[in-house]
Amino acid sequence: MILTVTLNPAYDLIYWVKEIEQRGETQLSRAYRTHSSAGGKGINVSIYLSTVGVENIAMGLIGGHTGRTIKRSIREKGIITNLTWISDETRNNVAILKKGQEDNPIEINSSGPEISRRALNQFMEQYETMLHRVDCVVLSGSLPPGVPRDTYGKLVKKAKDRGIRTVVNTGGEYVGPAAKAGPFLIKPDIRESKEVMGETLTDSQSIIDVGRKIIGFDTEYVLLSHGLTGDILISKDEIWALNANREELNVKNRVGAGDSLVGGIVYQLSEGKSVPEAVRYGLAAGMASVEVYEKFCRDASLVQAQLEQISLKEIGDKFQ
Amino acid sequence: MKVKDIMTRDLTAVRENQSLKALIFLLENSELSGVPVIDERGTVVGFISERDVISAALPNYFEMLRTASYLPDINQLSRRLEEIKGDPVSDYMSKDVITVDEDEEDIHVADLIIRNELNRVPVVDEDGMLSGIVQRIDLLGALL
Repeated sequence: MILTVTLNPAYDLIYWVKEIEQRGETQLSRAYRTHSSAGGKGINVSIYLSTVGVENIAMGLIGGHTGRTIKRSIREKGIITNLTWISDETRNNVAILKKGQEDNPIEINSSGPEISRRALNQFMEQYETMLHRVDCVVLSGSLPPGVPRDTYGKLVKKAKDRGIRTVVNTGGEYVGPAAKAGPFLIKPDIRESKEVMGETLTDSQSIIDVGRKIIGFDTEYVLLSHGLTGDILISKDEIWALNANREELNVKNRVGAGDSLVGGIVYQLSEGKSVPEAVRYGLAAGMASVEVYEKFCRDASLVQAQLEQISLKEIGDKFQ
Repeated sequence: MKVKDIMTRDLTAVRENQSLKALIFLLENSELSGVPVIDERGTVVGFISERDVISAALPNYFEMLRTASYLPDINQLSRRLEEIKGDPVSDYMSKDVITVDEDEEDIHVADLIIRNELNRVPVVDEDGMLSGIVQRIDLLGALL
């Protein structure tokens, strides 16, 4: 059983508009298409997994009307819920995609409600109970105000102590503490900042250097993306480059693509695939998701078509 | 139809050592009238509802309701809740909890709900761990 953790969930609102620009006066833009759904990176992974028929449990901190909407929404998708209630309202995130520029959406994420120590302790107790029944934990997304930045590290350690695999997908200041706890796989999110553990990612070599630094902390695999169609996977002994053909990609919605990637990896690992092959599939799932308006691509043939275009190459440069 | 076809896959529960205050917060926010009580592994060890909380605060209230038109002083209820809010859930939960497993027939759980006047029945796996809940409304929805 797979457990996903979303400490800062959101209700996502996606608007497609023909025009949007600031002209120094109030401007009304009519969306020609909208999409709304429960979100936050871990919940997105849960939704992805449910679309491919993998049973999973979603944990997270939710509150208020938005929290109840999220709970109902993910339950309707067949996801098992074990959520922790907070006093304040769960946040909304907004993405605006301008026609012709869907590849570069405007994303506005609020930081989320303040989390009390009581709520966090309650979550921790529930988390430890859930560790009795899962064999993989996915920790994904940002941490809301009030949650210490080393929380992912603590969650990784608790799972690791029970022999449970952890996959972490987070960015910025949360990467270091999580990496130092030694997760099975970590994918630093570099959408907001190209800086990972004090190093700025500028090219493939800088990605490899950061990956090596993280591997030094007992993490088994580090996955770093460069653009929408390329990933570098680093382990203690090997480095793999994954590349796809970007020119043939018809981008409709990039929101959730990274979560499809993580979901695809976890799905394939649960099927017994090797990590490089699972990452290759994950990249295909992520690319297929950008070609549909919804967050996730439900058409397995589209994922398969992407998969056939992705090269997976061991690039040597072994290091100890 | 089997229980697994109609159950709600929600693991909302309280631990035995949690306070009544924490329970009330959970029931209020999750809009549930009662939840299973679990141990540290997730095994169902009891069930507690808002009715149990009222009974804890005003032990004779439900008995009186059966015999006479009686409304307690709201301040009395408030005072008693204040006194017991820190007590553990285990002091007031039903320990002889009725559970069903996922492979039981819906007619069996319907019978349990009707005969025992229940709103919700916890569903457990082969190890007794909570795997979901069947509510009266789940049954009604399945029958439509």
